[in-house]
Amino acid sequence: MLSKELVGASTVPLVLSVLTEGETYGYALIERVRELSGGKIEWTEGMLYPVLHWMEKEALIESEWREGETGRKRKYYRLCKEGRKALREEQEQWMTVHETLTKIWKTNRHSI
Amino acid sequence: MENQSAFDLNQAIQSWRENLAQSPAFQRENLNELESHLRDSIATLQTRGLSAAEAFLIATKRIGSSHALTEEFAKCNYNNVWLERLLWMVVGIQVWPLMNEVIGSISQDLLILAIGWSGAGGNWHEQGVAMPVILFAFVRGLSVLASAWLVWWLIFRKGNRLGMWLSMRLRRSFIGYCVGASALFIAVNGVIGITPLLLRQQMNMQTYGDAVKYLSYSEIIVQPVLAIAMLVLTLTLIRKRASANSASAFAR
Repeated sequence: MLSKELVGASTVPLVLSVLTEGETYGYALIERVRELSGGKIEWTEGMLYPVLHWMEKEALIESEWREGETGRKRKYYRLCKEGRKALREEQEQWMTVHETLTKIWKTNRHSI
Repeated sequence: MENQSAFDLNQAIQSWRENLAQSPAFQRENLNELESHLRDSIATLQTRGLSAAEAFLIATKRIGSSHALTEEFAKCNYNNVWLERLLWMVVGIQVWPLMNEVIGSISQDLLILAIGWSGAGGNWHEQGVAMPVILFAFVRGLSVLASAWLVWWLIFRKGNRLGMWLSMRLRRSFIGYCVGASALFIAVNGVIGITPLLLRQQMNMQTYGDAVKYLSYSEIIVQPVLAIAMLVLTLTLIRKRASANSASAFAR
């Protein structure tokens, strides 16, 4: 389980990354993250929507109500140009943190 | 979904949605999206062999408590939350003077009538104005208290029902409601304006003049007391809100 702070910080890059696989709706997005993380990233599901709405306001993503395969209407989100730009920045930052931690942990493997 | 067991899934989803809809934090589209999510979640859980009731229970837990959802959505729909607050301010601004006017003028008219009938106006006039002024101030004060209590009761105790009734009426016919409300205001204010004229015709000019004089003197006492009372009320509300905020911060 991730800490609350880390969940908060990683929501936007996770959403942006999942949307690079193609457009999707909220529930499927959450399921995808759960699947990719092996169930280790658990969101309070409803909390995703205010984040999605904020991202839409910032023009990172855009949305559209459409009928899905079940005949019920769903709101589909897809990545915008600004979103791709934001994702590249996020990627750089997360990779920096990841590489730094990995390096330290490799050299100090026995002291943890 | 069609199975008529003890648990009605659609009914449960509907009441879950209505519970959220009471808050201005959610727009209709937000609720549509949340409901769509809940239905997806329930459907997935049912394919894993859960009953409708079990799936509903788990899905609502996963989507988050209404308190948490309201808090997060309120940050997004800040305008809506403020519009709702503004609405209640306007309601308060309209209801308070109306109640105050109605109760105040009834009590004043009764006082003037009482003085006219008893003929006491003449006697008091000889003994100085202190007694009648204090009596007038006391009755005015009581009427202010009574109207304050009535407004409190209407808005805080009956506010939810009043709001629902109001929004239902407004949805049905906006123009009709506006005309009705304006007619009510005009009628009430008309009655309040006409009664002193009627009273003056019924009474001895001297007694009526005295009564009106006592009434204006009593305002010198009533108005500062009213101002202080409003200040105390404001401070009490600020304090109450501050302690409520710190309590919720602690719970987190």
